[in-house]
Formats: sequence, C-alpha cells, structure tokens
Amino acid sequence: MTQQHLHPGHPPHLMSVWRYDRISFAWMLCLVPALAVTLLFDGPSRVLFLAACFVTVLFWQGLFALVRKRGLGWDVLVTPMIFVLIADGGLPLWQTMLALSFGVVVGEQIFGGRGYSFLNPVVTSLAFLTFAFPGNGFAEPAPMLAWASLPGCVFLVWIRFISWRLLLAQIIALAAIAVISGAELAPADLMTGGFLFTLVFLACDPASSATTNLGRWINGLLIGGLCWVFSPAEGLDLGAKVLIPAILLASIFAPLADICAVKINGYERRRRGKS
Amino acid sequence: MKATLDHLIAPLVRGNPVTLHILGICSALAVTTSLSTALTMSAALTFVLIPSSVAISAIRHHIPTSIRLIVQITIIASFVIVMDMFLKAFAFEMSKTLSVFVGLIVTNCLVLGRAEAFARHQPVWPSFLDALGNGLGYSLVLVIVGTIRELLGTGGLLGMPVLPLVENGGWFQPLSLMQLAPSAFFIVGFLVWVMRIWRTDQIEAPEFRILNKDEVGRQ
Repeated sequence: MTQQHLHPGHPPHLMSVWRYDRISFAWMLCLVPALAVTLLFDGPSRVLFLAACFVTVLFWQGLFALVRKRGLGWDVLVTPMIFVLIADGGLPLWQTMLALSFGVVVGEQIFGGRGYSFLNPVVTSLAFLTFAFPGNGFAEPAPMLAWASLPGCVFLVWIRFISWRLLLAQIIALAAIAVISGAELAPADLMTGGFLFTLVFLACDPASSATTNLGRWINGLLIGGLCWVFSPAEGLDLGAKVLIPAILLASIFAPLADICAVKINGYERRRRGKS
Repeated sequence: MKATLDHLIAPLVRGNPVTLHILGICSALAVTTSLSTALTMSAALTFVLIPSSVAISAIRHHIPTSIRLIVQITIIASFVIVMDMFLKAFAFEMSKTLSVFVGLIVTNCLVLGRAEAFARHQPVWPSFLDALGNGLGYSLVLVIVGTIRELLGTGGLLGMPVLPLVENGGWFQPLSLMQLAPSAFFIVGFLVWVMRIWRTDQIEAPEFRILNKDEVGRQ
C-alpha cells in the first residue's frame, strides 16, 4: 500500500500534461544539441564513455526500480548525458563508474529517485570524483557547447521548468563579486566553456534547488558567493572545479532557504492579519 | 542460562550498539582511517567498558539517583586514565596517533549509555556480559570500517601493501576520500542499511508519507 503512495505522480505546480516522465523527456531533448556538439568534437572515445555511463546508471536505476516495483523514467538517460559533458573522459573507466554509482545511489536513489532527492546525482558524482581522486581535471568543454545548449536553456526557462530568478540571482551574484574583487568578467564569459551549461542543467535543476521564489534568490546568491569562496585567491574561477562544490553545498542549503522563505511569508501574513 | 548469554550475543550483530542504537559514532568516525588505530581503540574501549560496567553494577544500590551521572562519569574517567597511561607507557607511538580520542572515551556515549541503560539496573554478571558484548559489537563495526577505509584509501592493511598501486605499476588508484571523515559516515550508513535489509524489524516508521494525487487537499 505504501509503495503505491510513493509512485511518481503528477507534480502539483505544473500543468497536468507535464507528468513526471515527460519532464525528464523534455529535459533530455534540451540536452541533445549540447551532447551532439561534444560528440562531434571529441569523436568516438566520448561515445564509448557515454555508453559506459549509461550502462552504469541503467544498472542502478533498473535495480532500484525492480526492488521498488516502479517504472523507469527518462532520467535514466538524462543523468549520463549531463555527466559525460562535464566529467573527464580520459579517467580510468572503473573510477568513473564508481563515482557515477555513488552519485546515483547515494545522491538520488536512496531518497526515492528523481524528484524526491535534494541532491543532483551528477553533482554528487562529480564531487565524489574530485574528493576521491584529487588532481583529476574536468573535461575540456567543446568550443560551441554554450551556444549549443542555449536553445535548450531558453526553452527550459520559457516553459518554467527552471526558474529565471535562480538563474538571474547566480549571474547577479557573480557579476557583483567580479566588480568587488576586480576580477575580469565580461558578459561574453557567460558563453564560454561549460559555464552556462553547468548553471542551467545542474545549478537550476528543479529537484535540487529551492522551490520558493525568495528561496531561489537566496539559493542563487549562495551559489555565486560560494564560487568566490572556492576560487583561488587571485580571482574568480568559473570552471567546473569551483562550480560543482558550490552547487553541491548550495543544494544542501536549498531546503533551509525554502523554510526561511515560508517562515517569512507566514510572519508577513500574520502581521497583515493583525493590523 | 540462555537469557544470560543473550546479554553477550545480542549486542554483537543484532542489537549492535553502533548500527542499532547509533552510539559511539564519534570515535567510529575519528579513529578508523587505519585498521591498527581501529583495533587499538576497540581494545581500549572494551577494557574501559567492562570494569566500569561491573563497578557501577556492584554499587548500584548505593548510588543516589540525583548524582548518579557524576558517579558514573568518575568511575569511567578513572578507568580511562588508567588505559591512557597504559597506552602511553607501552604503545607510545599508537597513543600519539590516537591523540585525544582515548581520553575522550570518558564522553563516549556507548560507555555511559550502557552504564545508564543496563549496569545501573542489573546484577554484576549480566552487566559484565553486556559490557563485553557491546565492546565486541563496537569493535566489530570499527574493524569493518577501518578495514574498508585503510584498504581503499591506501591500498594496504596494517601498513602492509595489499592492492597493486598505480605508482608501483599496478592498477589501483587509492581513493583519498576514504581517508576523509565523510567516508566513515557513508560506510556506517551502508552498514545500517545492510542491517535493516536483514532485520526488517529495525526499520523505523517513516515520519511522513507522500500523498496520492486524489488525497491532496483533503486534510
């Protein structure tokens, strides 16, 4: 009986056509151009890497789906697709598979799967990779990655899968820090490397970021601030090495930001009721 | 007889103090970076737990309830000081590696937990068995966690190389995460998970459940 209650149903804040697996499907379609550009740029080695990642994710998600008697969603494709775009394909395969297994199981599946966890499995895997095997770099992003991911980003913001407030808060925070610290940061930097891609597909992931509007502002500003903390002393580094830990820590604090937002809202309502 | 012996056997695996009561976690995280420190800590804790439980049980009718915690802590602390001095005298290097954690057995929740929950109400013999069982149960978890962390974090066990390292031409790249504190959290968490797959009666009732679509808005 309890199993039935946990079945991924319909998210209450979206139109009824957007069932759980359709969101993941749309999310996956938005990733296709970025993935295509990277695969064309890197050639067959990246295809093999993607296949290994896919098999790993499919194994764990399939296992949990079997044990919990649930169906598999499209997110089984989304996780490896994002992962191969950021992780270094030159790592030994067992290290990648171990990190991805850790991310999928500990970051997502033990909490009940996609949408029930407060961490993004890709962020968790990448953080595991940096802590477990320090010195390992992230992938060199394909030159056109930011432009290829732009249509998907615009689409996701347009249909409100991701919050423009969260995205804007991060960019404002980073711009403000750049002004304060005197770091060289031009608007064009947004479109270089995997920066925009990471911001949209990992930092703005609706499952692992705040869900109230005020919480989203806090969440976004926190990511920007943490980027500054994690950057080397001389300037602002916007590579995955800095962004990933910042996103991980910010998504841990996202529920707290939501609770604060709800408390403030309740306080305001009570105050208005009295006067 | 069987009931008495159960005091010894139950805390080994089924009622393990670490995986069931989540007691003694602090030291389980701190001293398990290598197997040798885990073994020393296990022995130290067991040898403190047994005499303090026996002593507290022996004078249980004479301890006024209002100051019982002070009395218990004093007894435990005396044995901890003895153990700390013993280690400093006979295993100085190890005592330096363990640093404050031997002294911190005084505040180890497992020792005080057994004194409060068991030795305070039970005769000496069951208290002795309970202390021995809990000490061994704690040791079992520490040894498991220490083995996993040292093997995966350095590729060796007790300082001896076991897995072929990359730097020596092998294939094993040590996971430096295993030498950091979070890994102990993960390993203890996985142990609790495995225990509760086996003993489903230990699973706690969920604090909330997610409502069905039809139920939303009815409350």
